[in-house]
Amino acid sequence: MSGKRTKRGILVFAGAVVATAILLCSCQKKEVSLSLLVWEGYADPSFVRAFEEAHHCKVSASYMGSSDDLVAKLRGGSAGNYDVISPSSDVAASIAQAGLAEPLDLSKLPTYPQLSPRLRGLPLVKANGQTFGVPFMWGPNPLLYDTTVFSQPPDSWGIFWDSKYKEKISVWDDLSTLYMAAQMLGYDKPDPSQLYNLSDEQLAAVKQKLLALKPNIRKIWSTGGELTNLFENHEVVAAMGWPLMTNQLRQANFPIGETIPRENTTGWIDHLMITKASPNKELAYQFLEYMTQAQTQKKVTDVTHYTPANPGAAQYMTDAEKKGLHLDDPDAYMQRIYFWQDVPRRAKYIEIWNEVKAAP
Amino acid sequence: MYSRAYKTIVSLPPLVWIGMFLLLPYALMFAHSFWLVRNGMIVHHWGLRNYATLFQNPLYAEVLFRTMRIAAGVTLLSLLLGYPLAYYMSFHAGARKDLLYQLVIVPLWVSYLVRGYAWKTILGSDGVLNGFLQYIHITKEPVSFFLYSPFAVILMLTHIYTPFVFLPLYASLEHIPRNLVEASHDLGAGWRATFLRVILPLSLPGLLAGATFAFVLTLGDFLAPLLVGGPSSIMIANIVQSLFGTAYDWPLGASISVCILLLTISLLFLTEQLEKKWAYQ
Amino acid sequence: MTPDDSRPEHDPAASISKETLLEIRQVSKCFGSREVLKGISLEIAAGEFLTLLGESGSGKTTLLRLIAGFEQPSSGEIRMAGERLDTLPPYKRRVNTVFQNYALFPHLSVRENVSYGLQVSGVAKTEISGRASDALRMVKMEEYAASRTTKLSGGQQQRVALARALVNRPKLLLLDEPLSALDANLRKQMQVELKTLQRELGITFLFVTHDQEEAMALSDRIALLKDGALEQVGSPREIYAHPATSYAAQFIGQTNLVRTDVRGGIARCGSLQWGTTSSDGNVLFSLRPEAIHRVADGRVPTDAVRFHGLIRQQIFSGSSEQLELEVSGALLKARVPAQGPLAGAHEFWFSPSDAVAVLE
Repeated sequence: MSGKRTKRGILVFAGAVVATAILLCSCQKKEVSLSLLVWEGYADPSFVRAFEEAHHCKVSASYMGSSDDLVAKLRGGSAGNYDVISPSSDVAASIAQAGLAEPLDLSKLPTYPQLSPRLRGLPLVKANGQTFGVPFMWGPNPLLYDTTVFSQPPDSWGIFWDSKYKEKISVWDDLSTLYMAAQMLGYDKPDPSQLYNLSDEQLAAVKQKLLALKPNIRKIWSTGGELTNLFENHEVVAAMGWPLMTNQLRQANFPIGETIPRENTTGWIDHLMITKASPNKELAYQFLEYMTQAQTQKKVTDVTHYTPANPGAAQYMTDAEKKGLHLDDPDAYMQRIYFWQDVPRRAKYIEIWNEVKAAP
Repeated sequence: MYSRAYKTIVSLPPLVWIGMFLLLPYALMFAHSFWLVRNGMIVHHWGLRNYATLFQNPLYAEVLFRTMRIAAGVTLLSLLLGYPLAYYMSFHAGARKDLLYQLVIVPLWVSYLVRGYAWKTILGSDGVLNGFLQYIHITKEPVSFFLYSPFAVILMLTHIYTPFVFLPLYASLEHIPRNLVEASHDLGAGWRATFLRVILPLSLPGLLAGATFAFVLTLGDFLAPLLVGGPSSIMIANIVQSLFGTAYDWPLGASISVCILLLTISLLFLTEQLEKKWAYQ
Repeated sequence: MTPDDSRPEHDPAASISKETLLEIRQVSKCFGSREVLKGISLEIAAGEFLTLLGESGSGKTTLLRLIAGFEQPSSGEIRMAGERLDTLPPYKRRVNTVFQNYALFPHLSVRENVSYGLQVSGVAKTEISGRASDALRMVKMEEYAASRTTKLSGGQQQRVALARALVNRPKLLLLDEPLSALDANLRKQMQVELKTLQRELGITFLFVTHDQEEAMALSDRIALLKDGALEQVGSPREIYAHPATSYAAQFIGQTNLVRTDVRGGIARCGSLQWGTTSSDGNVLFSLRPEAIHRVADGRVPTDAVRFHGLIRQQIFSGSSEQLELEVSGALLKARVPAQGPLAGAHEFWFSPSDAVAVLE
């Protein structure tokens, strides 16, 4: 008797749960809404509101903590919850190859041809003759330095190894630091993409090179705020960083300089992609189109200080802004930047990087 | 007597909770540790390759041992700070007891990150400590090992986990009937002998519980090395974090997690046995 | 016999033959603004069994704790064998205590508990073993030597606590309600054993209890405490026969308190009157129930006070009957030999020497 009653109780309980879930889901679907999973700053109301009004929809954004966070969420099966994503160049290729993104019909994106040809030409988001993403914003990993210590911009990453700067250097807790050491060893010649396909011997040499750097490293930074603090507190005098930090430090009146040394540097480029599982693909196309338009790009730049993929954004900028973002001569600037590519042996690279960090 | 239906319904939520948030994640972690990553995707090929990697590359054992050394250091320092404090408060603080207790507890309400930043402010090259040392002419240059060093990691973790050591210790000291201390004095034992022969043995369960807290929590910490650690202060949880994060090598990360979990479980089992043995009342 | 209202302070037999071991001089103790002991002065002779008797809150345990050294007197001093005791920490006093709840060390065995005092005093190991065994034998606990104290019954723990204290051969043993946690039968048995032990060892016992029967059964002298002050000190018989105050009369044994008006050596209460040495005024007399006799039961002395009483209640208690008599509006308790049911008015008498004038 009691067993039967229990079963009925459980059934009723389960039924209630399912009914509630269905109700909640159906409520959610009633309003047309576009869900983003993007970097912070890429869904600022200053430009998203206009899109919402023009298309009578609601844009709801979730922010990704890291490229890996994005990958984890997409692979974890919640891809259907998001319409638009903004992967960086390090994971864009694997997302495209894994079939998590929708191949784009470029005819639906009239602004696409205006975007930097150099960025459009990168092989990152292309597979099987199809394009999976549009370039959105980009930036290098420049060398940042304290101008009170360096009267002239350092012309080589080699100053990181100078014993004068013992415990005064900071590097990024990222494979970019590995690439930088590889550039010092000349592994980017003749083909920069070799940086992302280093052999075991080359990786061993990179590891030795980085171990030699360790006495000079004060701190390996992992967030932008951390590096600006390191400069402000005079813990370090030179580091690999982002243009964002240069901007922030300048606003704080810190004597910061930014340069790309003669070995060149690596850089990142964020693409906008539509997820394969998106239920609002048409709206998503319109969002991609809107976000790449020159005027929107200027507004995104105002929030993020990243360089826009649409050089047309420059027409809305002052000369100083243009110069700050290198839009006065973007091609010359881009020459010096090796955009991140997919690293097939990512795990091996990370193991090497962990070994460097673990070394006493 | 409660009916079986009642019992089932009452026990269902906790069982579901345990199943969903404890057993299932552990099972998933365990399963992942035997799988592999191929072409950036996790493939469900069962094997021991991850464990082989852990044993072949000395990186993992080295970092694990370093983490255990740091954990042991933090545990020892937390005990050295926490025990005298708990002892003083329990036996000699008198009316100040409540105030002191609050003072010990208050830091627990302050966010971990805030405390990390506070230490940066104190220990940095431009920090309070270096400023003071230079002001009184003990040092000429900022002392760099204060911050971004294993010293800073141990200091910060000790600061954070001392209350965790203190609380069970204080509870066990408070549990010691005061007439046992009086009896000891009455029988001719001074404070030292009373401490060694009565108070210390009776506080061992609390001491062990506190030490276990500090050790296990330090073993799993990854924030302190990120916040105040130096270029070589990486701990095992940082490796796990990078494997689950940047590397997208969940299987290898899971295999390390399984090892840490086994280590922790055997430690907890051991300390529980000892606590049972030492619990007299 | 003549009526007597003097207040003897000492039992001559107890204090003359032996020298004073412990001397308490004008000792007061305050906890905050509360004065729990008010200028206590008391001497304890070597080899004496003295009981501090009082209700809870009377200060008897505080006095014990002052002697043991767990509390410091607010004023006054305590001397043992002529030396100041109150300035010494508890572990330097040749005094041992049997605690109310025994306070046995839970992490030590019975033998280790008993050896504790010897060990911390640095007694040689070989001697410790022998003395501990002797002490355990003395309290008949040698077969439990290896047991954990938590496994023992209350009576057994009591014996271990006693052995643990006595093994140190203290000059003075303090016992804080040691029998209160035992059931009635065991308590009676332990009382006999305690008394025997004290006689054999010749150690001075200072015993604290709230149980007047226990105090009467064990003590050479009783010090009766009330509200932090000594009410009366004397042998049990002395206090019983000559209670100094109405409180002493009521607390030790049963009594009738008779309020009288004394004029010219005659005490008057209603129709009753008898000769007294008390001076004129309002005087309270204590008259024990067993001092009231039935005229019909035997010879009546010539100086007896005779009166008629109406029997209100009769309680049979084996060898005697307890009667409640109504005498000119007042109620008197009487105890007479058992003789079957009684009713109505009877004639009773008492001897004026049994009516003891007491202070309020």
